[in-house]
Amino acid sequence: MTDHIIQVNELSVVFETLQGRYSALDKVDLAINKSEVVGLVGESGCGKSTLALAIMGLLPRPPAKVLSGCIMFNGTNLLTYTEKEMEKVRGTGISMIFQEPLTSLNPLFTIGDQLSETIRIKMQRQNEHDGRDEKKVRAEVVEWLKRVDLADPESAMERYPHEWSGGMRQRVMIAMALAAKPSLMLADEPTSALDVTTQAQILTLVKSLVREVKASVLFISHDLAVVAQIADRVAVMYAGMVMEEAPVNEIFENPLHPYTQSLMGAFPKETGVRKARLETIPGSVPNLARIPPGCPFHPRCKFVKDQCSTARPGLRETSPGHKVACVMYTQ
Amino acid sequence: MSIDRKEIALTLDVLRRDRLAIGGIGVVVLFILTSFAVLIFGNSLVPYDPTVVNISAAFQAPSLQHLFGTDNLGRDIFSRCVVAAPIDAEIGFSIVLVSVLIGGIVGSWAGYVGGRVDEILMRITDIFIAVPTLVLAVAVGVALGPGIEHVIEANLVGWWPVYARLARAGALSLKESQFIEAAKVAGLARFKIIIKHIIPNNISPILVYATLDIGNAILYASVLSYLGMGAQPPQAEWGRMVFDGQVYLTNAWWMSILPGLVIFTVALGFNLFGDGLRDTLDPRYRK
Repeated sequence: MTDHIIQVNELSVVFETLQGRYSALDKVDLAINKSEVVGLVGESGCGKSTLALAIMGLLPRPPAKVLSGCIMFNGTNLLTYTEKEMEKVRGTGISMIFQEPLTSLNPLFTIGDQLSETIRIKMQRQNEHDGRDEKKVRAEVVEWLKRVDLADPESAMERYPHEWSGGMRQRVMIAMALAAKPSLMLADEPTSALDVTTQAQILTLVKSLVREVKASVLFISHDLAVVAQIADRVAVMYAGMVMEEAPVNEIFENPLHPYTQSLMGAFPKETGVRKARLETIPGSVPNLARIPPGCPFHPRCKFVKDQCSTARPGLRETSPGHKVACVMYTQ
Repeated sequence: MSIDRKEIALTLDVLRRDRLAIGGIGVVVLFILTSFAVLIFGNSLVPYDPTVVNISAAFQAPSLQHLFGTDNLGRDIFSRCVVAAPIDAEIGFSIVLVSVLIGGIVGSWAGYVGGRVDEILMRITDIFIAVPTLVLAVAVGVALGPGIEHVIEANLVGWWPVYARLARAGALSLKESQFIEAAKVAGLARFKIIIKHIIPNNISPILVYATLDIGNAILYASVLSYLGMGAQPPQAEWGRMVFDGQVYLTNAWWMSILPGLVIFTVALGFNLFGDGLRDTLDPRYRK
């Protein structure tokens, strides 16, 4: 399995606060292959963003604490890196786009100025001399603005963030995240703050650009429709645990875990018979300080059995590429 | 980044709408121009030699001949106020500028890096804050001996911590903002994030406070002058003149009130200028 870009092994992260200990990630296993887009879905507060921040080395410590596990990137464990070493991985190794394009840009500098920062970093890491060649940097800024479909890049780069709409700013963020040609890009709900039409455009753009720079992507979203459009493989998280992991078609056609099934049921169908009402999942996401013993989903599960409150099954492969963590499939 | 004509026009437009700021700028510009004029032309600029004693003309009330009256030694107070401008400018600007520099860097660094660095830097700042600024300045001033430069140095010791606090507070809130996170993710080194993202975004509240503070610095320096540490007679200095006139307040009010008004006007001018500056620097206000 050498074609893994990144491999997260048994990663457990807790937040220690005065109110108690919150378990944000519980033995998370996740691997992403070269040029693969992995969708990470789950309800709010299930640990999706924590996983991304952990990979980036941006967890606020304290209160966050890594209890166990490792994050292997290019054959080394990122968790052992110092801040200085991490700085060198960010940008050219792993980059990230955020949910809020409105606040992700420095209001005091022009778009071109901020994009050239990334490009300069990349050039400097490749070749010390190139980074100082302002003409080259500028040319690449213009090229990237063109690539993210911004009209009139020459004048666009002289503009300030507040002059732009959310969609345009998110395009710039995408350019910034990909301009350094990272091998992995983390996208933390990049389309959630945008309206549906813009969302579709941004998704198409991300898809084609990612292919162009041959980056792998961890695409975090709570929106199954978005993930269905972009991901090759999907991992479903609940209460800090990965519940199911499968290729995108497989997970939509044959969801195994009761939680995944409920998620699909709560999702409006495009066509077919109009149901009287959408299914909902009874109860709510558990407080991370008081995760139920056994399977964290069992109090809300339709198929709950006696052993569910004590046994905590790990991910198990049921068919090639399809893993699920549920006692129903342990035989 | 190029400063294009549109930006300048916009800046002027924002300023034009703010009458008070224009008044403030007027005072500040007059103050600075006077200072330079005195530096270039010296005493020939003013109607009377500010240092020549003429006892027969002592205690004259303000008149057309002596706009601000004369003091106990018969020196023209208006002339003395004018020639004191560069000294007070030097005192005010250097105390505040050096404080902004030291405090800005220390505070931004402490706030952004956090943890132990923050703890150490801020406890050092606390030590300076714990001692009243004036007492500290007097102590240092006595140790250094008389002279304008020493007054500046003495005041600086207690002056910069306020700026360190201000910069730290700004850095703390900026640190959480997403564009800093985005810069980190882009692989920008910590040092560069502080230089490029923290300090520029932090500068406007500090700059506003600094302009308000220049008048204050002049006042503090004058206290030291009064205690015999700053400007040495016969050199004219505003604060010194206020305190010199204090003894004669009942029979020659102009001796301290009028130089005091000069300090007040300059301080107010910087204040209004600072307010205007804040509005101009705010990109939201510009729209």
